Amino acid sequence: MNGFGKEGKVHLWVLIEARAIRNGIRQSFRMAVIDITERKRMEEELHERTAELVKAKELAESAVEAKAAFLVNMSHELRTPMNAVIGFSSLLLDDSLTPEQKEYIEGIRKGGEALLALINDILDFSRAEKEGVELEHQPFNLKHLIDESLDMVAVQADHKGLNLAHTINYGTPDMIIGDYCRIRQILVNLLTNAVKYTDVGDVSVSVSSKVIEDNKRQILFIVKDTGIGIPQGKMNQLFQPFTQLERTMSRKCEGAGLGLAISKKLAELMGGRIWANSESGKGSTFSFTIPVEVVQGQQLELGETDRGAVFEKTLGQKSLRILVAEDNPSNQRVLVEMLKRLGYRPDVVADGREVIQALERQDYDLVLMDIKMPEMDGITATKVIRRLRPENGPKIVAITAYALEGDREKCLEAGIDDYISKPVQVKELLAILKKCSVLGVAA
Amino acid sequence: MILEANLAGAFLLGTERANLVNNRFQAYLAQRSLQEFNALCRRVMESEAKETAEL
Repeated sequence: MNGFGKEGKVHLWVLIEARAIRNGIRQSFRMAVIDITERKRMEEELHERTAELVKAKELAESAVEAKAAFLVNMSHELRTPMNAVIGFSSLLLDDSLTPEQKEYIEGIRKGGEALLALINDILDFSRAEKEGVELEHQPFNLKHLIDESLDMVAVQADHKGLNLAHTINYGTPDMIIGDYCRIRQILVNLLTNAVKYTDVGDVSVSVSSKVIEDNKRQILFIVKDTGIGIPQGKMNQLFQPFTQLERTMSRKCEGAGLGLAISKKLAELMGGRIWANSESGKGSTFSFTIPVEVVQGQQLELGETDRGAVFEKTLGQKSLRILVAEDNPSNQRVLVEMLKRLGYRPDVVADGREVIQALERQDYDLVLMDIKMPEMDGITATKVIRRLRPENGPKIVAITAYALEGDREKCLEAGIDDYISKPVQVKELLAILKKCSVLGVAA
Repeated sequence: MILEANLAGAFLLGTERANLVNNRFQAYLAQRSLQEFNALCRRVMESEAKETAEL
């Protein structure tokens, strides 16, 4: 520190203001010496505090980055083995087994699925917890969103013999701008709960809208069921994380109890809100609102439909030439077995370089591409294929354990046509194969 | 060389006013501030304006 005063004495900081006084040949200065020790001390303290804050901020930022990286890795590491557990047990169930063996395998599969749902829920919750979540702002068809959400619970509803219905009220806009995936996630969460807690009767979705401004609407989604309902005293616990209301209920209905907490966070993130009305034994009504922009000039037709399960088992078109690119032998086998049982004979390679070599030897209609592979990853391989064959290249579908937002965008940017996450479900695989066939990819 | 000083200046430097006169101002500066003080002196000689330095 600069000092002022005799060496050994107290050191001071001073401000010296000096001006020359010219008096003939002789020159002198007039100096004002001001003690600024206190100011300097405060400046130094401020400087130290700022440095500490910067350090703390950097630490916090790196913690957030580490958390994000952890989520990606956890997602990948946990989902990859789950692929083998769920895939192989599904395959085993199709074989001739004793009733006892079948029951055990079914137990493994159900346990695997429950664990996967739990992993997904925890990931979703952590994602929604993170501040500064970026919302999508894309135009989409509201009816498609409702159809797709209902499709996702159709099989379970059909198993339980529940009637699944939807009503779109007059004046509801057709095309809206908002976050499709997140609105669908809330709706699917509520529908899944409704189906889970209803043994007899109906589960219905009703959608209506209210004008906020010229091109802004508040969309109200109402999911109603005729299930076990919620006791009045428990209503305030509903949207708390890791809450399932009754122990007896928990035993009957698995889950982490995160669905409603996630839904609440998502609805609030989008500027909406979520609430519930219920009476024990008489069913529940869950409602949420989301403010959206309207794509002008289009309105939904009035519609009321009853739906049964929509689940096709086989496809008419089976002449697709399929290449599976997957490095993990277990996952490779699961995927190949699934395809074989659906009537396909896929070729298999273990990394991106081999995909390119295989495509040099022969044409394929569809490449099911793992993203994380040794030698050359799926994204790089896709970029190479798209560069080598800008037209008439194969349809490339990423199959990956990465499940975080942004991954889909990375895949699409590279030229990947579609995306399904591990563990691969037969239903999703069928949808992709069907899409390929409908699009006339098959020779 | 200090030609004259007020009481506040003497108090700040921790000495009697009489002791200051005819002493070099640099004697009250820490060694490491000397260079900056000499630079201030040069600037004052060359300029008509008020020059400042924090030492």
